[in-house]
Amino acid sequence: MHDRGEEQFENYLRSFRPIDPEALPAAIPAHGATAPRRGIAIAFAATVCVIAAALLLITPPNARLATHRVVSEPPPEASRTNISTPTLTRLALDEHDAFAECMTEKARLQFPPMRSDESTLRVLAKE
Amino acid sequence: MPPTDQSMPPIEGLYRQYGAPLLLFAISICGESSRAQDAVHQVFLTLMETNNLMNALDPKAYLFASVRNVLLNDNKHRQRNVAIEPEQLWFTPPDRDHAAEQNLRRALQSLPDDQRQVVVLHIWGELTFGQVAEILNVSANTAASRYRYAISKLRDAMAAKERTNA
Repeated sequence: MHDRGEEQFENYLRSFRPIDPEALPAAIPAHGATAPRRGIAIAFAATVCVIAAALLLITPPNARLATHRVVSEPPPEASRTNISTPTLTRLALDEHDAFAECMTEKARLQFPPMRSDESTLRVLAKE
Repeated sequence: MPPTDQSMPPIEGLYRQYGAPLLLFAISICGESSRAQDAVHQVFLTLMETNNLMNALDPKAYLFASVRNVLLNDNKHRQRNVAIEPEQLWFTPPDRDHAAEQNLRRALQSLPDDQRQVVVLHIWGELTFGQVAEILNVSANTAASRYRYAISKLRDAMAAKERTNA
């Protein structure tokens, strides 16, 4: 039986509000949400690999060699570098480091590359 | 109870609606507010991932039962029962009567675990004795009987404390 006193007491208890919990932590994304992004990334990486492989197969070996040679040749503007003799003399007397650097650069432009068929060592060996 | 915001996802709406009584129920079981908070969060985060609530016949009772199960499983792992924190607030008291809040909290803490849980579920969880019985795995008569004992003890304990303070 529910007497009046008990009902009043229950109402009194209900007047106390339980404290609110803290906010829920940031929701963990569902597995389904990450799957498409991962799939796109994998598909993109696979496409890049396929294109790279196709380019390697399509490009003839000679073209690749030519590319390598072009890269190893000195830059054209460097060959146009020309320093007058008085300037070189002044550099040799006053600025040893700059002179040495200049000589190194001149030597690099004057002699063929070391690793090609016409390298300095090979040319000298032939002679 | 705060009204459920219809524009929110259902789980978050349930959290707003039942979060406070669930937290109180969890504290009444484990005695630690931080552990209780974790248990409530765990239940809702799991629901967000699995959406199991759709299959529950009684979602509200399911939530209370889930919180209890999380804490009971946690107790098995810990192999010990933690004493109830004596000074952790459980309620926002009416008229900022913090002495009354402390009086009620201590009276609840003095009850045996099973009686305390029945009172919390029926008064603040607003569950019927049938629902309480389902959650605690007892008969509805046992739940009602425990409730009567508990209310009687609570009244006596709180009245005695008020007489002492007067």
